Amino acid sequence: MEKITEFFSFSDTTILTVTLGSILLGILGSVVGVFTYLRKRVLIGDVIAHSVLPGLVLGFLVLNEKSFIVLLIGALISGGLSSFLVDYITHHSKLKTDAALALVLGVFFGFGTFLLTKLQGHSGASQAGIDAYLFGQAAAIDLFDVQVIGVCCVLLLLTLLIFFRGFNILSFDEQFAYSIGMPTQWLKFVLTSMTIITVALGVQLVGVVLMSALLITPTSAARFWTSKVKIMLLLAALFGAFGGLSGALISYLNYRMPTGPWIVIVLSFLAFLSFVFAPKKGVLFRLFSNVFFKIKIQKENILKDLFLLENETIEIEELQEHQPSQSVFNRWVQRILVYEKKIKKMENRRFTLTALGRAQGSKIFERHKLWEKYIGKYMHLMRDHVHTDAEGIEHIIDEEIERDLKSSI
Amino acid sequence: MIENVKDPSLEAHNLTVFYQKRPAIWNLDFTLPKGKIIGIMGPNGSGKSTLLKSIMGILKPNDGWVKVFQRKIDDVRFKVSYVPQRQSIDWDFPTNVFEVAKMGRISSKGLFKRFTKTDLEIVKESLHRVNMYDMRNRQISELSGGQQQRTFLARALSQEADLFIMDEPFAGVDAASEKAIIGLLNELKSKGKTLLVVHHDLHSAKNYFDWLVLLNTRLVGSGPLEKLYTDELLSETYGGTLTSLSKIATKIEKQGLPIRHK
Repeated sequence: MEKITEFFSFSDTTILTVTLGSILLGILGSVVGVFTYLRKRVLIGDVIAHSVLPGLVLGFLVLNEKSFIVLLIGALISGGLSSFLVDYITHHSKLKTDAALALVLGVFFGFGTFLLTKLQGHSGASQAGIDAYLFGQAAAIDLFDVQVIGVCCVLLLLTLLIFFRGFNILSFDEQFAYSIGMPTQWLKFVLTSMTIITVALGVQLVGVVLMSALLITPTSAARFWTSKVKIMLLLAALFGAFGGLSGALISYLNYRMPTGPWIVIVLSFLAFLSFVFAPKKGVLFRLFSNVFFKIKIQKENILKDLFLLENETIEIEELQEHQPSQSVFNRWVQRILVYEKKIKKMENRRFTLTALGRAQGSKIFERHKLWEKYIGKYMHLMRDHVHTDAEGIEHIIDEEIERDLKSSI
Repeated sequence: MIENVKDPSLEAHNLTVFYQKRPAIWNLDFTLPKGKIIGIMGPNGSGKSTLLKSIMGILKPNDGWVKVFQRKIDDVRFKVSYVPQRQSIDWDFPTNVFEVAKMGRISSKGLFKRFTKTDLEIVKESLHRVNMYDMRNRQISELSGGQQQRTFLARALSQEADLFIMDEPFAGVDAASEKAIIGLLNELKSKGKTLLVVHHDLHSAKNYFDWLVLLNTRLVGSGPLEKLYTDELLSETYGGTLTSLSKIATKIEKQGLPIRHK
């Protein structure tokens, strides 16, 4: 607890720089990731991330010291080259996109690892922490780095804001965007450049291996909660910032805990929560909507049967044959209906409809008849099949369909 | 059978486009009239979509050129509306019907200008015309095929163009939507608009179009429906009599073809 207050007082500049850097990169990665995701270019992000490695190491070899700017330039060049090569290979050879992606990733990352191994023979390489680029080393971020990250962050976010309309329509329908005279090639170039810059900035924090997680995880999480691109951007940024902050905090609280991987773990956890709990798209919601539908069917069946009983169009025996009314599920549903004041229990342990229940029961019976009439008229179904069909469909028909059916009969 | 017109809405000269080294359309020469519903017909892989894309400049011709209203397409884009194949986009994209229709207004706004009240009125009106206004807030992932196509048409209407270029607007739509779409095409025609429509159902083509472009990599014919809709021309288009053509195309794919002009 004491340590937490200490952390948030930011008295130590190292804490401040690491935290600020993590948050900024978290935001940047997720926001840029949204359009990577929408354009279905998720894998190219991963390829670029792995491909900046040779650029980083060569940058170090040229200057023989670890200057953030030089490493950044090295990363930009090799990242850019890799993305260009993927495009070139897909357009000018028999190879499809997936093969081109795998090929470029393999070649660049392999070359990078080779250079790294060579470098480790050199003196001073490990002190400089160049090998930390594989998995990131947040602690190495200093004040100058954060300033660079901050400036880039502002510039990239501004670009995104200004060109939002273009990026959005490009991601949705590129051919249409071109047909109305949008500079699609140029927009694509800007988007790819943004990805490369983000990756180059981010590898110091999370490393080349985990970088694509920073791009994709917050976005995927955000997609579960919304169906609007703007809100997706906001949510993803929020998740990214939270991930960055948590990663920095966790690594501060626990000795020798790496920041980058923890950011990714927190983000993955957020994505997992979204996957399970998000309304409509979440697993839990879908599961429950299934159960709710079953309950609805059972409720409607009870109401309808009681309605038919009242009108003596059905025998009690027949009813019991249809529904084993003593099942636990059925008794449970009956209780819900009593609670909703749609049925009430009589002295002879039988149920009777309330006015509300009667109205509903009659409605369902009406829909049943409506459907029977409809398929009788249009579908040439055998007479004795019509009823069973309607038994199911009566639960699906809503107001809108009911109106349609009525008008077509 | 190629009939040419004066003051054409569209003119193609020697138009040749290769798709991965194989000719997809080959030496097309034709002119199209204004204010008509024109059907582009041909079997699968005959280059119908390629033709539309090369008109819009999405694909660059390897030889020849196209002019729209006697100008280069880049000069008249604001007068032309392109409706891509419905299946060419991902309908899971997070957006709703109204937002898609609104994209049509961007053609006159560009990347930065704000939408005005008039813009939104036009979008609203377009949605009403395709009977999608009540569904304007619906996610596009929840639409049926016919509703998707009508959303695309609302976007096209919002562009207020003079020439509409549509790739298979009738593919995979229900009968009611098909009726609504053809009604809309006729309404646009009565306002003097030109409609260029890729279609593959021969049977309904008779009732839909005023003019036909019959395509099978090469141009088989272009002219008024009455003159083009003959057994002879249709079997030439669809009948597979052009097998040697496809053999030559395959050879070109392997060996390349020296192009004359460029």
